[in-house]
Amino acid sequence: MKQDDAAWAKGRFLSILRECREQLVHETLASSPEVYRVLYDGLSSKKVEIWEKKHELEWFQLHLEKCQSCLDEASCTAARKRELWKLFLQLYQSFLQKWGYQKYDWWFLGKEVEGLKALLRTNSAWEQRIDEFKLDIRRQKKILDCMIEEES
Amino acid sequence: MGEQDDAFGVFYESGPKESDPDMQAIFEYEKHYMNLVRAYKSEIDHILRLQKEYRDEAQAFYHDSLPAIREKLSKEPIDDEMRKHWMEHLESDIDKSFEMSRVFLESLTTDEVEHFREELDELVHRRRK
Repeated sequence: MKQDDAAWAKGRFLSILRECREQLVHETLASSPEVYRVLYDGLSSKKVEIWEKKHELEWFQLHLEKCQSCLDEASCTAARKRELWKLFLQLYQSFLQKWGYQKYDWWFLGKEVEGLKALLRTNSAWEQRIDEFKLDIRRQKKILDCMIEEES
Repeated sequence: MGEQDDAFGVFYESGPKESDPDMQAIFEYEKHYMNLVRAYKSEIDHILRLQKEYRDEAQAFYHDSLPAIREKLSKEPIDDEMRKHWMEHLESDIDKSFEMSRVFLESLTTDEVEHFREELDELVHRRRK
């Protein structure tokens, strides 16, 4: 492995870590609607745990997307890009281990995010159905109230 | 800079110092060492800059950003428990990320020092032959 490539990948990965930390700070300070919707809902919402997990996994994925962008912008041969990509993956795996993910778990992260998104969609669909059901009960109750009033 | 102009110039001359081979070897080694330091100047500067950026960012986060986030969330209609929970979650992710930056930065520094040492050893071996 070339010394310059390893140093380049580590230097770039350090910048990526910094940019991703900035993103976490920024979305809280800049009132990101996605974050504040969950914060306003409070801990009692069933969605919080799922959303938090999804948010964290998407943040992990952002690191990998930034690695990919670095390589897209790098003007070098395809063979060298493959070597640099391997170096990025090694760094990314070490990074994920800090959160308890084992080697190669990163491969499944994308699928896990999709699963959590589907769960949130299902949750929203159920909440919508419950709202419709509640509205229908109110409607029926109102009709009955009117009927009772008319009878009396 | 010519060989005669640097701090080791005196040892290139023929003179009494050449009669002490140990002394001459030490100064030869130091001369190579200083030449390597000069050759690695950009790498050393790069690592020093990365270390400074890391320290400045950590300082700014814990002293400015974190209190600013706490203040902002305290002004929002967010439950205390949720606010506390979110702060712990955010701080934990950023602490771990900083820790990994420190690990990679140390590894980068160690790699460069190792590379530097290898080149120095190579010079010494070449000299011995």
